[in-house]
Amino acid sequence: MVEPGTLRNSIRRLRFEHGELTQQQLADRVGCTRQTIVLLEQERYSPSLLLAMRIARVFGQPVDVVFTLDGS
Amino acid sequence: MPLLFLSIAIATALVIAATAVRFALHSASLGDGARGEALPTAPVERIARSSLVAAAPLLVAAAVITGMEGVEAISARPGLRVLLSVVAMAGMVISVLPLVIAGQRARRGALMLDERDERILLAAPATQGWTLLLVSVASHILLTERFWDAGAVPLAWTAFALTSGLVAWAVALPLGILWRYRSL
Repeated sequence: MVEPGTLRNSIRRLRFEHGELTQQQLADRVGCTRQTIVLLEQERYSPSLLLAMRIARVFGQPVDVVFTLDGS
Repeated sequence: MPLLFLSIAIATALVIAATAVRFALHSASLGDGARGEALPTAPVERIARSSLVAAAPLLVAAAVITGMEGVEAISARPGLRVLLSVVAMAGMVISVLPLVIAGQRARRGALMLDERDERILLAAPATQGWTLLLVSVASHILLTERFWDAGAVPLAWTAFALTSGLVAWAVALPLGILWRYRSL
């Protein structure tokens, strides 16, 4: 049986490390609303693979560096 | 007295409706949420909320008049019956139309609709289905019990049950959307 895990992310930290990118600027670059970015940073929403890859591309990082599975 | 009350309510509702719908469609294109909000409001969420605010006066007015006059008394007055039907239909249209327009704008690329918005909009009609089911069951039980001895349900009450179901179905769409924005 697969143990469920919690999806963690480093979006907030990476935003500040990349020229203090605002939530709205990141949202505009990846094609989503600011509300979705806020929920992602609060780890209350799990993105689709496409959105996760777009976010990772903005930061120039692999997807599994931006998003990690905790507790598995 | 009911006509005067209803006329004032309709006039007020139309002004609020026109203002709210214009505000909703305009503000949706400005982006989502003000600075400083803990959770910014998504454009579709704002439109759903504005639809409910705009439709509320009409639907409340129709409900109050129906409660004050009674279903059978309204049915005996053709002018009032038609007027209430128009008010109820207007409330339904205002509940749903801004969201339909928003969908068309999103398809043209004029409104931001991200994956979470699409997921919520796909799931929202389920709320309408459950609402219609519950209202239909409740109407069936209540009318059956009320008119069992009479052997038949008067046309006025079947029309009222149908209109109530349609209004509840329409209002359930923006309500379902708002609920899902807070829970998904």
